[in-house]
Amino acid sequence: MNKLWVFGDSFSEPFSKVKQLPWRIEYIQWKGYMPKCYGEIISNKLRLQHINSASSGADNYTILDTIINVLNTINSDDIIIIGWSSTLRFRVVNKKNTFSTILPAHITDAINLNKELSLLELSNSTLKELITNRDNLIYINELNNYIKLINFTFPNNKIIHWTPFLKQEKNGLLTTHNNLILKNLERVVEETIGKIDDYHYSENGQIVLAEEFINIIDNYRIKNFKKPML
Amino acid sequence: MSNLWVFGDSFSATNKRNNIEHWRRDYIKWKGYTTLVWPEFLNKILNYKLINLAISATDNYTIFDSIIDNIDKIEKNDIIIIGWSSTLRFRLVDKTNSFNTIRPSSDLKFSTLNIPFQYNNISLNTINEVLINRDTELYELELNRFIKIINLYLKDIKIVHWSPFQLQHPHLKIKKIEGIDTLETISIETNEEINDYHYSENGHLELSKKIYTMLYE
Repeated sequence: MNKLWVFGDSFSEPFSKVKQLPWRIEYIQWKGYMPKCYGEIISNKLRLQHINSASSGADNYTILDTIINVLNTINSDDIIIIGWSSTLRFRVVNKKNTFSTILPAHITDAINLNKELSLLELSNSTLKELITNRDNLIYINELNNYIKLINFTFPNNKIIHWTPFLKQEKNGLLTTHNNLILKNLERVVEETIGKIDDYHYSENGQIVLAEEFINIIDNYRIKNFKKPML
Repeated sequence: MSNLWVFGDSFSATNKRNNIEHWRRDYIKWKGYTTLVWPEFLNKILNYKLINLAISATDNYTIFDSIIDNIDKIEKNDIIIIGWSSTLRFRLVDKTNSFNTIRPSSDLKFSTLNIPFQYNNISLNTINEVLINRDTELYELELNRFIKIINLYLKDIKIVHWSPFQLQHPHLKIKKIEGIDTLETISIETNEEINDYHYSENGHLELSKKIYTMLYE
């Protein structure tokens, strides 16, 4: 059975990975059942084994790491979907000697972050300065290089690169999808009419997103990336 | 004609450039001629087309970028040699909207920490905190993943990963060069007249022999 590999952040993670995310718990309770994420919908429809390696709050370096960790187990008939996160996010080493992602929704959030991340030995001003430094298009270019390398590494696979952070595509991120559809995807806050104040995609949003991706997969033309061994 | 691709930092960069560092200029003046570096010595034997893209004072993210920038130009019979830099180094966006490498060194002469910063809104405290944060093997493991994906993509290509910082970074999955710490430096050759710890001409020649052996062992 071929596989559907999904990498990314909370926008690609199944609802069943509730973790400590209050919005996810509240939304599942509000719905009265466990909604399906786009990866689950696609894998059911296309009869693929769904391997979801997305992780809430992930930065793009961690997403790339996750992909590289499983490089050798991805077969040429597998489909890969990567939901790249915000390039503002970055990672530092915490007191447990593991990586922690710094994830501002906005640059002004930086000062609040450090209070929450008690594991860090970095000052508020350092986090704020680093985030401000990252608010630059050059980090989109950095990510585009990662996308290029992945595309070259998997020349025979159908790969979808997308991002829920729409501004990034406008700023030149090399995605595979049509940005327009993402703008109109229903959010949790809309479906619940403000009862759950969260901007991740609702169940309907996930269904529409899955349909968009299936359409891309069905019409995907394998790009003839030049391989040196050919 | 096949290509010999070289990526890395100042330990691999050529002296045959217009803008060179003080220590290179001083050394060339001391020698009386422009000395060769290991890629040029190596290519005397290989006789490939040498494409040396090593950049002085660079970091591994920039080296990785440089490889990706050129990955579609690499051909089947080419040879690639990557000299990875210190994983302590990192990069920030500077006032010209370009990446600039933060480069600590025990010798302040080589350190970017003692010169006026060219970065927007970045304090010395931030630089110091990040450098301390990076002093962990996790960043060596991060680099190992870069090496892994390069090796997978270029699996049929002759490729050597090495690092002049192999002693400081023991977890790197690179070819360890025996006796790297005994290669002659500029400081030794010039009896400390030029106090620099990059390899002397002899050091580069020895290194080229060691890399040749690694290529064909």
